Amino acid sequence: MALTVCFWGTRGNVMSVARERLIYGGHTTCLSVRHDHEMLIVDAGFGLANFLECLSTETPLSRGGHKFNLLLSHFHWDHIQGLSYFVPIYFPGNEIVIHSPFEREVVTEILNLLFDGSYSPFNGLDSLPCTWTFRKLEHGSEIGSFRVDFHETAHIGETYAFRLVTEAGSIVVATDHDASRTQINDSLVDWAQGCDMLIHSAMYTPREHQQLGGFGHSSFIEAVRNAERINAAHTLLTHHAPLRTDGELAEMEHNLQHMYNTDTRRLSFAKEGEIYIVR
Amino acid sequence: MMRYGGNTTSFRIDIDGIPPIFVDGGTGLYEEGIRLASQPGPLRIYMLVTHTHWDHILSYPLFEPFYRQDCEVTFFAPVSEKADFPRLIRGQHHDRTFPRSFNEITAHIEYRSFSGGEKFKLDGATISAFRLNHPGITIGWRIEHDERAVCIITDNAPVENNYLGEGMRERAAADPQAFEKEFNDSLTDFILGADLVIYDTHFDEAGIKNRRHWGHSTPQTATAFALEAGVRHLLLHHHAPEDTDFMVDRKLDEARSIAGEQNLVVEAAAEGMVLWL
Ligand SMILES: [Zn+2]
Ligand SMILES: [Zn+2]
Ligand SMILES: [Zn+2]
Ligand SMILES: [Zn+2]
Repeated sequence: MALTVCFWGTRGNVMSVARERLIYGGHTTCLSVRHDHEMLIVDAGFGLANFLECLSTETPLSRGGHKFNLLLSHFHWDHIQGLSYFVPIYFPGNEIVIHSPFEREVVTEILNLLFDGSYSPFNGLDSLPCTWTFRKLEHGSEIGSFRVDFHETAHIGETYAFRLVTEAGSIVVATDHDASRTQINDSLVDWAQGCDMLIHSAMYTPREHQQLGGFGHSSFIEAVRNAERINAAHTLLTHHAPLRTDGELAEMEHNLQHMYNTDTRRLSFAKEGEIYIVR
Repeated sequence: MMRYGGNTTSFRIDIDGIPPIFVDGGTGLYEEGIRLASQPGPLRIYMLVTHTHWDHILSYPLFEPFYRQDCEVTFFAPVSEKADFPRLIRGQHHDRTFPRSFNEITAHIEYRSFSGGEKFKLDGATISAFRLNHPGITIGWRIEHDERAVCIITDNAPVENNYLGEGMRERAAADPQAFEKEFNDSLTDFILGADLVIYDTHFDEAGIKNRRHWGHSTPQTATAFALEAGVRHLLLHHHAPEDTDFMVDRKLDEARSIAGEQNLVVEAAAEGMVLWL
C-alpha cells in the first residue's frame, strides 16, 4: 500500500503563473496525500482547482455523492482562496469535510468571509449547494486510515503543522513556519522526529529573511538545518517566493542538494503536478 | 494558458502627463507593485475598481507601494449598500487571513465612490461610470483623452431575463422589457465609437447555458455590442480559469467570424500585452 504526495500549488503569498515559473508552478499552496485509495487534501490555495485533475471521472462531480477531506493549517488567503474555484462545491450531494485544530466558529467565520456577497457571487457558506462538515482535530484523530496530529508553527497568527501517519509511512507538513524562532522550532523539530517525508517552508534566501525580518517563513539554510535535525528520508521545500523563476529555483535546489544529499537522505524543491512516493 | 496567461484581472492604462491608472487588483498586480516599490518617490497612483469580487481585488494587500509613506493613491470604486469600499479593503486584512494589518499601510489613500452614471475630469482625462449587470455592484469605465476612448466592460452578463446585483431586479420589476432595452441601449451608448473596448467573454455559447446568473458574457454578445456601437477594437477578456489557450483561440475565431468584413479588430487579452491607441 503506497503512500504518495502530490503538489497542486507550491507558491507562497500570491499566485504568479508565468512561463518562467511553469516547472515549479505558480499556484498557491495545496497538496494531496494518497494512501492506497484514500485521499487527504492539505490546504486550499489556488492549486486546489488543479487537484480535480487527479480524480477519476466515473461519476461526474455534478451528480453529487463525492466526499473530500480537507485539512486546513491556517486561514491566510493563499491557503484558502482556491475553495471558491473547487467545482464540487457548486453541486448538491457533494460533501466537503474540513478538519482543523480550530474551533468550528473560527472556521465558519473565515469561510463566510471568503464567500461573502461583497467579495463573491455567493451569500455565505450556506448559500452553496454542497454540504459542509467541520471536524475539530484532536491529537491522534483518525481520518480513514490516517492518524493525524498537529503542532503549532512559528508564523504570523495561529498556524499548525500536520503529521499524517499511516501503516505505510508518515509525513510532516509545515508549509508556513519560521525556523529561526528557536523556542517553537525546537519543539516542532522534536515532534517531527522520525517522519519519512518532511514538507517544509523555504521561502527566502538568508539575506531576504534578514531584510524582511522573517515574515513567518524560513530561509533555505534554516530549512535545510531543520531537515538535518528531523532527519526524514526525503525533504520537500515549498512555499516558493512568488516571483522566483524556475531557473533561480533550479540553481538553488542543485546547490542545496549538493551539500545535503547522502545515501539515506535527500532534498528537493516541490514541483506543481509532481507525485512523490513516500514509501 | 501560457500564451494568454493565468493570472486574474489587472491591467494598467498609461496616458501622457497623467499618473498610471491601474484597473483592478487581480493577481497580476503583485509583480507590478514589486517593480514600483523600487522606484524613487513620490509615487502618485490611480486605482480604478470594477467591483470587489476576489479575482479583482486580492492583490491590494500585497501591493508594495501601499506600504510607502511617499505614495499617494486615489481609488475610484463602486459604492455598495452593504459595505463601503474602504471597509471591504480593510476586510482583506483580517488578522487570521493576512499577515500584515491594515494599519501598516502608510501610503495616503483616498477613496471616491461610484454607483454608475457619473462623469468627471481626472487631470486631462474624462472618466465615466456605468452600472453593469453582475452580482454585487459592478462599474464599467470609459476613459477618454485627446480624442481617444477606452472602455472596460467586465464583469457583465446579458440582461435578458437576468437581473444581477443590488437593486437590478427591483428596477426591472415594473416593465422588464423596457428595462432590458434601456440597459442595452445605454450600454451601447456608453461604448459608442470607442477605440478600444475590453469586454468580459468568460463563457462560450455552450458554457453560458444555465450559468447566466454567474454574471458573464460570451464572444457573441461582446461582438454584437461592439458592432452596434461602432467600436474600432474589441479585446476579449476575463477568460475562464479552466480555459486553455486553444479554447480562447476558439472564442476569438467565433468573434472574428461574427465581425466578418466589418470594421472591427478583435483580439484576446494576453498577459503582458501592450496596446497603443
Ligand atoms: Zn502561506
Ligand atoms: Zn501563512
Ligand atoms: Zn465578478
Ligand atoms: Zn471577475
